[in-house]
Formats: sequence, structure tokens, C-alpha cells
Amino acid sequence: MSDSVEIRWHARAGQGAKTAALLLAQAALRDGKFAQAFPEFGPERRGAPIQAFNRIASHAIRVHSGVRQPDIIIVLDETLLDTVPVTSGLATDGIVFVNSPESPLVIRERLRLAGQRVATVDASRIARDHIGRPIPSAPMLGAFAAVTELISLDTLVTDAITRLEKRFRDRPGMIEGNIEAIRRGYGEVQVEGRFPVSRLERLPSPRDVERTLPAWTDLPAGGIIVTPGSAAAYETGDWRQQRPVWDFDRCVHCLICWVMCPDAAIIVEDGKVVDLDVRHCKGCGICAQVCPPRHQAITMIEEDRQRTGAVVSAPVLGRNGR
Amino acid sequence: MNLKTLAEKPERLTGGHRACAGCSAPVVARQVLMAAEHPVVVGCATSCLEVVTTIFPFTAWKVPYIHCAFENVAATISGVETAYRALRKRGELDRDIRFVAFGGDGGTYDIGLQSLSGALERGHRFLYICYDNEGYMNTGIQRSGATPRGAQTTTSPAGKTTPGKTERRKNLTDCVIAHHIPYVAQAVPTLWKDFMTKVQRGLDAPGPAFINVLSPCTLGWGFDPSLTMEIARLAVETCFWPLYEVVDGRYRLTYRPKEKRPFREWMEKQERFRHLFTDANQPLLDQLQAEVDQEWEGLLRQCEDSKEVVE
Repeated sequence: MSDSVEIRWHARAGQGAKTAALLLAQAALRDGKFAQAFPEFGPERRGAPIQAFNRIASHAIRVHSGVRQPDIIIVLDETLLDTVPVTSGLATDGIVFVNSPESPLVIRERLRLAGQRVATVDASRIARDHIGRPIPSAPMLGAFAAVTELISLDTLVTDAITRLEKRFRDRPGMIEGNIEAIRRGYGEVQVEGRFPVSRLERLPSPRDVERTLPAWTDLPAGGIIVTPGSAAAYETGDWRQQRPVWDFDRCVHCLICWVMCPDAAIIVEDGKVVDLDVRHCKGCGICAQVCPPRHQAITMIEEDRQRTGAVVSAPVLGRNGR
Repeated sequence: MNLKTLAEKPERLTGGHRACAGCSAPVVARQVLMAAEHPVVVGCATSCLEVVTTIFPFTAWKVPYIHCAFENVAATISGVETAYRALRKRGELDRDIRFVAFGGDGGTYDIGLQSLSGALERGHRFLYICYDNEGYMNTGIQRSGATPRGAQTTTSPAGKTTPGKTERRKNLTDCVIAHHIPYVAQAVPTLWKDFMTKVQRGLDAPGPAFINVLSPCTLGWGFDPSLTMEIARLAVETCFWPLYEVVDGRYRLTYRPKEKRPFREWMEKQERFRHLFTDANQPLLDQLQAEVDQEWEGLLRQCEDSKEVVE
């Protein structure tokens, strides 16, 4: 790597990527380097895929664009591996960090990387243990410090304390939890594959194909959208952390869940709940919450990390599970 | 009205929009479209709802839809409704079509107030739905005229000198009632039947109709996405958000809480009020309760004066 390093974060809005990029830049500044940190997201909401960027250099940085050819990629949400071309533009001697309980080899396989280095750490679990919520940024920063040595663990911890003290003045447990999460990320990261640069060859991946947009001449005048309900083609199912399952022995098909679903994701036929639209359900849990207490037919379960896409497993879990 | 019948109708707001998980705004829009028995044309002011449902080249709406700027949805829908009346007069159209405008509280209480007031005064036949999430959530949670006193937003931060927003929220429903239009109501999506009945009455009113719908915002208010509907209900049970309607000037309470819960219980469920629960802020908490009581009792008096028996 040269005397400047470019980093790209992939996460879902709400997972702390923006703050983590800021912390990283601050730690680099304190270590006497030059640094940038900035996020990029559209008008979308919590759960939508976003990016954040860092540049760290030994000299003043004149470039201010987003990072397209990163040396380091940090993926805070494993489910993005299937939907976002996370490794796009990665340098041949680059490193990919993925928040995952899997080994680096398994992730390498999924990303179809021939060279580069892959590092994994089960950051969500660590965060749940110490912070109480699956916000993986703190352990990922620890892992980053351990593998890249671009910032020291001590600086990272000091900066994190300074920053968190303001926010959690009345909850000291949150500060300790975050620090412990950083330390465990530092200690538990697994790294694999240090290949000589000359032998590296990047296999093309179908995920790298850039989406082509229509030319302006192809658009209807005024940018009118002529297909009603075209948003149905856009899948928000991968925003989901949990999914509802129905116990059809308890469900009386009152349809209160259906009328209060923000995503029109509960499929009703002949007056009965028959299925979940997994392509659109964001897993908010309103359905389970509004199900009348005397029925309690809906349970939220953790979403399968691999997103098998299997449609409602309700009858299986529901009938035997209680 | 029952849900089994409603579920037989085609969905008019699809999934695939990009609202936060647990957002109440799409629920409000879905319920309005479900309740409408006629074809409708929708106008939508710039707002969260507009942004998340119409990210180009996608739209979640299956009804004719026109987007406009932040401040003029009532003027826009006035124009559409006028064109429709002109076409009918000339005999070029003979379908019975209804018009619905959606705006958030920013686009209704504040920025769009003049266009709303003008459209109400001119007497266009349309239903205005204000989905009130008590702040400018689309741009990152700034305070609005609808933000309650004491709530923390990015422009009314809670700190050493100020306990969140220091000003009282305006009562927009009262402002609208003062226009003497045929139908005004308040609702929440949790009590869907109450809300959807009001939508039908509003659409059938012979002139302008307005429904103010409290729409909890999981991000801006700070609560778990699954609790959206419960938070909306609690606003009703604490009498902060009474459910009532005003038909031709006559007030009627459409839901009376069995037991009026302390306003505090609603605030305690939300991060934006978390800083209030200290001894130092007790006078403010008392004041907030007093303000809720004052508006609630005023409303009850109006209902009695209208000789409408409270349920």
C-alpha cells in the first residue's frame, strides 16, 4: 500500500457505519496522519444499504470524491454480500473485513475472491454481548486496528471514550460495553490469505456488473412514471432482521395485522392470511405487536443470515413450537 | 365495514417503498386508499411519504398521483379538482372521482398552511390527510409547529439550558375547524375502523374535508419499530390526541378512553422525551399535563355544546 489508504464501508443505515468512519478518522488524526470520513446515502431509510468512506494519508488529501478503488473494504452486514457488489474496485493487495461468524475462507468463497486478504469477526454477536444491541461497528474497528495497524488500539479506545462520554453521560455501562466490544474485535478477528501481489488475479463476479440506467431520451416527458405500483419490483425484504411466523392453530384471521402492515406484505386470500411477502416485509414486528393478546398467533424469529428466501415457515414452527 | 371485505379489494399502495421499518405513514396511506369507494386522484406534498413511495423510476401508488413542492399540495389538488369539474360540466367526463391530498405536518402545519387555508376557503371538494409525525423527519428530525413542547429534535436539542422544544405545539385541527368546512376529524391508524369511517365521511362531504392523523415516527420519536401502533393508541388514551369529528360545526367525540391515562405514560415510551424525567423538569411535566387537560376539557365542552352525546 502506498502512503495513502482508501477505505469503503458497506452497511445498512442505522448500523453505525458513519460514526465508525468518523471514529477511525479521528484516531488517525490523533496518530499524526491526515484523514477524511464521510457517508453516502440516498433518500432511503434505516435498513437500506449505504456506504461510508475514509481516506488516511501521510500528506494533505486533495481528493474529495467517494472511494471507488478502495484498499480496504469493511462490510458491517453480511447480508449485503448477496445484494451489493461490495468488493467492486478492491485493490489487488487489498483487505476485506466482513462481520460474520464464518471463517475467512468461507467468505472468500462467497465473494469469489482469488487474491487479497479476507478478515472476519462475529461483530454482531460481540456487540449483542457487550452493548445489548447488534451494532457491529465497535468490534469491527477493533478488528481493523488489529489487522491493518493503521491505528493503534490505545488511540482507538481513548477516542471512543471521549466520544461516547458525551452521549452516554448517564449510562456508563454503554461506554464500558463499547470499549470491551472494541477489545474483543481486536482479539477475535480471523485473517487469511497474504498473497504476493504479482500472483493476484481478480476473478470477475456477476455482482460487479454496474446497473445500466436508461438515457434521458428514453424517459417519458416530465419523468412521469407510467407503471402503477412499479415499486413492487423493488425488494426491501433484505432490510429485515426478523421475520414474523404465524401459528395457524391460533390465528383467527381477524386481519388486524394485515390492515396495519406498512409494507402490504401480508397476503390474504378469501379472507384468510395465507402467506408473507418475504420480498417486501421489512420485519418491523407491528403485526406481532397488534395481534390480539388472546390469540398471540404471530412470533418474530431471527432472520436466517443466509437469506434462504424460504417462504413462511409458519406451519412448521407454529404447530410444533408451542 | 369489515376487514375481510376490504381485503378483497386490490391493494392500492404496494410494498417495495422505502419507508423505515415500522413507519406509520404508509399504513395511513394504505388505510385511506382502502376506505375510498370511488376512484381517487392523489396529490402528495414533499415529505417522507412522497420521497419513500416515489423513488424514480419506481412508484408504490396504484392510483393517479401528482407530486408537488412542499408548500402547495392543497393548491395542486384544487387545480386538479377544478379541471375535473370543468370536464364534467362540459360533458367530457362522467365518472365520479374523489381527490385526496397528503401532507406531513411540516407541509401542513407550517410550510403548506397558506395553500391549505386557501383551498379550504375556496371550497374545493377534496379530502386533506395530514399525517402528523410531529417534526421534519424527512430532512433529519427538525422541530416543526407540530412538535410538542419538551421534545428533543436536532433543532431543539435538550441540554443544560433548554429541555428540548420550548414552544407549545399549535393545534392545527382547531385552525382548520375555524374555516367552517363540512368535515374535520382527528384519527390514528391503530383504531382503523374509526379512521376509515372518517375517510369515507370526508370523501362524501360536499366540500373540503380534513383529517389530522397522528403518525408515530420510530426514528424521530425513538421507539422500537414494532411499537408504532401502540404509541399511537397511547396518545389517544392519554387524551393528548382525542379522536373526534366536527360535521358542519357540530363536535362529536368518536372514542372516549375508559380511563384517562397520565400524559407522562406516552412520553416515557419515547427517547425524544427521555431528558424530561428529572426533578428539575417536574414543573415542565406538570405544565405539559395541564396543557393536555386544558385542550381535552375544551373539546369535551364543545361536544356538550353541540349536544352530541359522548359515547
